[in-house]
Amino acid sequence: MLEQGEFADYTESFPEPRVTQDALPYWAAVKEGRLLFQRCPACRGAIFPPRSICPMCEAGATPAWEESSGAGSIYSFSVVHRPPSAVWRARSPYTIGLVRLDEDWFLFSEIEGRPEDMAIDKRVHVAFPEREVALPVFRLDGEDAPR
Amino acid sequence: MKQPDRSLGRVAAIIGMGDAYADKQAVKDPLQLATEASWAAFKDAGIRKDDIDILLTGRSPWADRRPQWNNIFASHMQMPVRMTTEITFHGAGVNAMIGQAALAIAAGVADYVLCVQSDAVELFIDATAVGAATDACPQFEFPYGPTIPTIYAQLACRYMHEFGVTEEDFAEVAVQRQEWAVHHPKAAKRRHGLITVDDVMRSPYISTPLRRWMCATWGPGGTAGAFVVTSVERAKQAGAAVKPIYIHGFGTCTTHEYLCERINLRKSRIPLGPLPAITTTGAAHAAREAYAMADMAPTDMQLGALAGNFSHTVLVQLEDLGFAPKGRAMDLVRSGRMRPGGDFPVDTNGGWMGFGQPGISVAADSLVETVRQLRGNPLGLLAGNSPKRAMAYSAGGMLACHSAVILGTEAP
Ligand SMILES: [Zn+2]
Repeated sequence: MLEQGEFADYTESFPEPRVTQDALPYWAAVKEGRLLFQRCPACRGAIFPPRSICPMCEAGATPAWEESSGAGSIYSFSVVHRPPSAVWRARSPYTIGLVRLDEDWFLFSEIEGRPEDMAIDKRVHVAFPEREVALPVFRLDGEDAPR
Repeated sequence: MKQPDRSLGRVAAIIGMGDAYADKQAVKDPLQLATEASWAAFKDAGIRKDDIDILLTGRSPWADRRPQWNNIFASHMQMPVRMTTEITFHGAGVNAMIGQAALAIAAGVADYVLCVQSDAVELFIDATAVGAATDACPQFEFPYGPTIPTIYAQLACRYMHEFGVTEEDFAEVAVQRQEWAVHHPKAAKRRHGLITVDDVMRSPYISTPLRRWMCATWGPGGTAGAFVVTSVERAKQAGAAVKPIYIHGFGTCTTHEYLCERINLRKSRIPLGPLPAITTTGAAHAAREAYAMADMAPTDMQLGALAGNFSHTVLVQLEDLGFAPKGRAMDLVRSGRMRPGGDFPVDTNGGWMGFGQPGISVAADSLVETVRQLRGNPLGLLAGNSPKRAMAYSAGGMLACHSAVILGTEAP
């Protein structure tokens, strides 16, 4: 019997993000090693995930793309000991958390580093490691693991 | 924001309930389980199959994910009906069927509504299909390799941080669920017997801070719950053999689909506390509407059925449903009031953690348990306080969807 948290392999490779039209500029920037988010020209709110119309105010405004500093802090995290599939098993344990960027928006992402070093509010910065699938991840400040 | 008409809490009752179970020795598929439970519910209600005007189901079973499964089931039963639809906001939709049935009764478009849900994940499919691939955002979450526990663990991590709750506290929640589960013949974790906080703390991490015993399990193999809803008048006129369970109130709420959307939510017409935050859920709103409709308070509840798939969601739900102040649910756990013999029994079938999750029907299992306890005929341990009023709550998705139903034995 499978316990919750144990899953049979549902993929034999690292999954590619299912890119939406709204997010095309985000993923194009990721390939260049840059992190983008949107801001509403009316309410000035930071918007993520990407949208075609700001959902945070009633202006109906088209959000503008902005480059993030990539700096933020850990809002929450979990070290994955039972990964979802074989490809992840080779990499475990790894940490997945919610990172609060300094521009006040959040990314669900991997946080590289030793599990015992993870803590809420620790400062992190974005990185774009060379992997099978290009994704922004975060590293604890002061630590830049060799790529 | 418009408030539901309070008279809706005095219009409908469950007059028939049926349940069905499957395991590896007695394999049944979702259609068979739903059929068995429905016929049991008709018999229990003292009605004929052809009395059903409307059929409601939740989402299609994981073990039979054909679209429009509700229509497939109506067809399978050779049961032409005026209307049928799936109430689908993840698992919460299964619980919300009861409220939707009450609305149909109140609107005068049905005399009898059949609400049914079944599933049998373990018997028919690889858990593959029910992994994080289903519930993680396919663009901004899934590519990072989370499991469902990883996504829920983000709340566990924040909950511990904001309220000083510990892993040992989470362990105590698991211990209390197991105290009920060992008495239920269908509970997936029954075979493990009673456990201690040490047992839980020695179980391996699935995704920190969640250890194996702090997580729900799959199983039992398959289950179904079926409920016949009719008007209060008809319920009162039903034969002496019928034991109506009155629908005193119901409320629902959905706030998002993916966690990455929820954490970026900055304002909400439905109160969720100061944002951004994830430690208050839409359960609070669903419960508020249900209590208002029932003209009851949390302190009026004498029985509870939660949707605690992890230790920390049990705690958050107890708070959002009004049974404890935010961050203080552990006080209620430690009081022992929810344990066997307590004056506020909760999760009397072991809850999602102890009874297990047979699939999407897990919310129906909690409703079945609630009806059985209110009628005094549970399959497992009898609540010792002869409860007359109960809160049955279900959650769905990644803290996304919420449904609260207040049921009772006393006619309004
Ligand atoms: Zn705006």
